[in-house]
Amino acid sequence: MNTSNSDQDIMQLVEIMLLRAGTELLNDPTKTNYLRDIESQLQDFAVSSTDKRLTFLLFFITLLITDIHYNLVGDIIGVDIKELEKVRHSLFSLLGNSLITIAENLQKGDLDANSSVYMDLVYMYLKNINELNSNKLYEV
Amino acid sequence: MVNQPKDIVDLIETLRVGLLIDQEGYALTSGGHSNFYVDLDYILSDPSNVERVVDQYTLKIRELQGKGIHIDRLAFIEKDSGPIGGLSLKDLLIMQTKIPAIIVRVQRRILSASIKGYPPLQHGEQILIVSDIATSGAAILKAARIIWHFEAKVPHVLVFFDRQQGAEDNLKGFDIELHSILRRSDILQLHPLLKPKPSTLLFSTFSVSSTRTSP
Repeated sequence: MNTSNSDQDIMQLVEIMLLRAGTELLNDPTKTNYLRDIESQLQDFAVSSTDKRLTFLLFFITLLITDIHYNLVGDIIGVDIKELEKVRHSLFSLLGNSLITIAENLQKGDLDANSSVYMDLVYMYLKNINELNSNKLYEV
Repeated sequence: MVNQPKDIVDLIETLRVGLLIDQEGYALTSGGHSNFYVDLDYILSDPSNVERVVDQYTLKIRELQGKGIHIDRLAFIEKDSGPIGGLSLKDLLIMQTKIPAIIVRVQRRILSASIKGYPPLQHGEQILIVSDIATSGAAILKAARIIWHFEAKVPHVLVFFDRQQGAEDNLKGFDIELHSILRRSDILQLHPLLKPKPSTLLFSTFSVSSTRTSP
């Protein structure tokens, strides 16, 4: 592993941020404020990191947060609100759990252990979206 | 009328800021390359161009209506690259044409969120997609597919500039007729310099004169 001192600093900061974001989402999956707050900082870290795996992690997490917010947060006219809330609740809970796991792996310095977390997240995210669409919930 | 040569010359002259020519070529969103580039956002950054462009779109829409083409709503595309291009003309065109509009958000994953506008799209509604540029027609087709999910119809598309690089035929294959205000051939006709294989850097800002000859 070729991790510079500054990467170590970034890893520690990211670990603290992801742990807090994950815990807040688990406590209340409807409150995504903190997640939104750290998004741009994670993006900056992705650029300044020199560790490829850390850069990938930060790039992936920020893109995913942006995508989930863009698609699931805010009013979505035509979707059954109860169904949407169910999806939001389950996805943000999963995201909370995943962020905590990623933070724990960062603490151990084991970034490779995160790949299955990434896969589960993306799979569940797209699967839930697909279910919302296939139920033709856009019909009002 | 917009299709008369003098008006085309005037139009290109007015909009020259958005016509960029470079021998290196531009990478187009369609994936192709071109030695010149038309950018409606550049064109519309000049206040004096806005009225001209809106008038051209309005004229063309009225021309289509005059031919018996029924338009329930206009559709503007929020592209992969963001809210640029024809979308920036939405409100002005609603005001000028008095035709209501929707926004098609092609990046949205939830279908109902892909269409922004009220009331929701109805079965059989006739939609005119209004966009800036047509190259291969892929972006237009992506938007049309979303509209079709709602069982509305997209028989016609209006763009500011048709690059004449396959969009017309590609869209025809899906029963969509492409209409444009300006075509690549209009510019090529007026400017022999724009023909393929430029050997030197021509100019970075296009300037039109009907008497201009090659250097």
